[in-house]
Amino acid sequence: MLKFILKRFFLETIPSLLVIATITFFLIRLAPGGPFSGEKSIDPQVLAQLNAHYGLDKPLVVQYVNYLANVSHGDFGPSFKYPNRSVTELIGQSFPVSLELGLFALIFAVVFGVGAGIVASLRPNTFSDYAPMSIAMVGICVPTFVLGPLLILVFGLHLEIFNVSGWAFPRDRVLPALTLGMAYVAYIARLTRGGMLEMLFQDFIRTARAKGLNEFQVLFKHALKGGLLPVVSFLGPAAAGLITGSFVVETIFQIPGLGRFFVMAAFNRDYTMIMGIVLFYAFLIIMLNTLVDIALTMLNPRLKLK
Amino acid sequence: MHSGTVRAVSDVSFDIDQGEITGIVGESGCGKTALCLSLLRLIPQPPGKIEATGIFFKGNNLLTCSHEEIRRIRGNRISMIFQDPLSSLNPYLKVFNQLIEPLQVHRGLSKKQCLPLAQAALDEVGLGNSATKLSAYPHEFSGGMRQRIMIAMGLITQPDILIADEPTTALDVTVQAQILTLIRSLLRKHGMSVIFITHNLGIVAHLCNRVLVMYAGRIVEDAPVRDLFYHTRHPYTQALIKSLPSAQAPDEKLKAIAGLPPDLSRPIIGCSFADRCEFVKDYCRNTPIELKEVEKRHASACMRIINGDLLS
Amino acid sequence: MNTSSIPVMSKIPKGSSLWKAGFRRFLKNPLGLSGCIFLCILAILSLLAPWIAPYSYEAQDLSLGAVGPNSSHWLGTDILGRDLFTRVLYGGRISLLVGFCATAVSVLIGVTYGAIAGYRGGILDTIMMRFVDVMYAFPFTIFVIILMVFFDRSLVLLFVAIGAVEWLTMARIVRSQVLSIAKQEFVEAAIIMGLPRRRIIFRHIVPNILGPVIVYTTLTIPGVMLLEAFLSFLGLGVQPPASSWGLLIREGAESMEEYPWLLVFPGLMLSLTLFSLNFIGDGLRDALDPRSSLD
Repeated sequence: MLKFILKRFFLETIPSLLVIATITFFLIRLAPGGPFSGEKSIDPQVLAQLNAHYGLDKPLVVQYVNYLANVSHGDFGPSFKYPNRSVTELIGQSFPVSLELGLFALIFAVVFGVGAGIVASLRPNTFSDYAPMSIAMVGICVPTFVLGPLLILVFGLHLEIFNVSGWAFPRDRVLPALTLGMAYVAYIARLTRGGMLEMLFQDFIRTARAKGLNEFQVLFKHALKGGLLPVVSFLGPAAAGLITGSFVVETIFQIPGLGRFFVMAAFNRDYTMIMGIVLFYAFLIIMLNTLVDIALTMLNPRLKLK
Repeated sequence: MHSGTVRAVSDVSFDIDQGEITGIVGESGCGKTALCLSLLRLIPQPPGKIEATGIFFKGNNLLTCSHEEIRRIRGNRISMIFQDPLSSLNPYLKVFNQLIEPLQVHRGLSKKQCLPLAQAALDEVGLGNSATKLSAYPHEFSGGMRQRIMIAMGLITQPDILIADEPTTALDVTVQAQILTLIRSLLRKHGMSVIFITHNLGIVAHLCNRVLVMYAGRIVEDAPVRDLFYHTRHPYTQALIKSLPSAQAPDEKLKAIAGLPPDLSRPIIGCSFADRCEFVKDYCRNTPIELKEVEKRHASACMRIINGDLLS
Repeated sequence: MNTSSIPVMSKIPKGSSLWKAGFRRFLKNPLGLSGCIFLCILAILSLLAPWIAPYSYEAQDLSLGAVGPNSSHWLGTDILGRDLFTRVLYGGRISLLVGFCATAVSVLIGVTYGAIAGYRGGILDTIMMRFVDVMYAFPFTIFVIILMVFFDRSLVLLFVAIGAVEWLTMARIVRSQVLSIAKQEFVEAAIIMGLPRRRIIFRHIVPNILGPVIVYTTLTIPGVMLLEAFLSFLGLGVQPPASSWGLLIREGAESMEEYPWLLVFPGLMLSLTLFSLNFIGDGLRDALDPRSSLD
């Protein structure tokens, strides 16, 4: 196991991050304008000083190497927009919020998605199949930026059950988590339904029935383990997507999470912030996928870690 | 392919005697598996349907009894083992957990209580050193070993009847022989009845006491094994026997049965073998067939033989 | 009957090709069918928009202000008095256009890439798929945002950006299909029979990958449309004075407290379209993969 993790880290994670860092670095630097060009009428001398201070006047390649050197020490630099605070600090402050949001959304998505998928798989191509699957589809057909405002409209403004925005109270988790999770309910439901159906037509299900098991036992003891494998596979990208894709929700519900910081950083051309967040997210995604790979080998006895 | 109803099995009626090995033989698609799945109501209805007067077992009618009742009989009083042990065993569960399921479900035993029984079961089928084997997964075994596990699983509740659906078809010939020997010795030991499905006449000759020959969903001949081979009373059975390659005459041309089995989605009037039969007469195609006893304990569905019209 | 003569058999039933059988199966799917109908209606309406729209696209009536649905303005008006129905109609044109074009871009890239990797195999395949794996780790929405923020917000760039995001999965699907087909025995048989490579590719391999490609394409379109709507919502996609449903939703969200219909109707149209596309995609998948319809 340790060997697997080390191998994964050095042979895949580091190179991947390197590639991503390089692409992002040059991409954002190639664009017109810089971090300070947005400021209204800056004195060119002050601008030159600022650029020199941050090393932005040096050749690109030099900047690149310097950046990588710093990163290898864990120094992601200060934010250009908020010079008093380092990128690490800002990420450290806002990430837990996004994480919490993402986790609630994930739990919601898994519970409803797996439930809908199992129900749908029991009687395929009938109403009890079409109904839950269509409802699950709401998540991918009604975008977060439509669903969110609609939920706010109905539950926040008209029924006044929830706050319209903010993250201060535990209750504030509900609407954002729902909005964010809905999109994933559909995918998870689909995967569960597909996985369960694959299982339910296998011979060993027939054997289980021939042994006298009741339908409940057949479903949960025999079909479920194999049937949920596609869902577990999907959890990696799902978790990653939930954490990285939350900026719309964060913006709509005014949640101080990492996603919102990213969009602002992009608009502000805050180079270090952008780089830091991109690398952080990439690392997160890779790590989640690794965890999922490990989980899969534990669930499917025919798989082995490579 | 037409859509419609396929009558996989028609007008089948037979009895099983205790302690007997009854072989059901026929080519692919003749309905032998469907027949046996019907016995335990394992045919999903819908879309399938089992229509019968009754399936009588120890005072119960398996056709009309409640779902609870038939569930209690499955894997308990009547067990079934299947053709491909790799796909018939759950790849995601350990052998131990699958093996003891019938005991857990029907005897209410705990895992701990089942352990010695599981070990004994594996020993009985020739898989000693059970400790490692029990905690392993099906894909870690060879085909022959997997089939032994299936047999152990089928016998662990000491059923009255074991239905074996082509248990050796998926195995190598040498392993086949081992499994057959194993089945025979276990039978003698437990005194149970066996329904053995196969398309292999050789196995039938070797193993069975009585044989049912099926064609196009019907039983065409029902006889004790010696009588079937030495006093064949149906053209189809005869053709089957003739088509076996002979070790005594290795250069002889293989005799296949010309033609194809009929389309079971269409109702057939008369004998379903008529188009391929050497001895066919006009009335074979017009009269509805029935299985009738033509000699002691020997029934045939051939109209000509029933009418005493054909000596073979 | 002589055992050596060839018997007269009952008529051999005419086989139906996979496509015909699939088409019939698709027609039986109520959801897929209704999706198709909706999409057709939508496409016709979009095409005919300039002729059927009751008002001009830019026509403002400032005295009217934002008004709810009524007999002269079926979906209401916005703050500048512009007819919402007209705007939704025109917005749909752009949204559908972007959806189909960007999907075409990503399908082209993905199929080519995946086919080359799958067919060539070997080192080339390994390198190409490694690249795909790395790109999968790239938080793509972030990438697209960077692109759109930093560079010129043109429609073309929008196509490129979106296409660049969506090709990955298509590449993977095509590659795995090509690999599995190429390994199958009927291809080996064709090679042994001495069929020229071109013929093998076009008559044997291509028809077999078409199925998943078609299915996934129909499932990509909604994803693309969603991405476009999302970018437009952020202000990064389609720029005014042009409009797309995403932009309309953005405007609607801003004033949803007072004028909820500005949000609801564009949102509804987008959602219904996405539903239809997904139903069609699911229907096609169930219809073309014989296993998965049981499934």
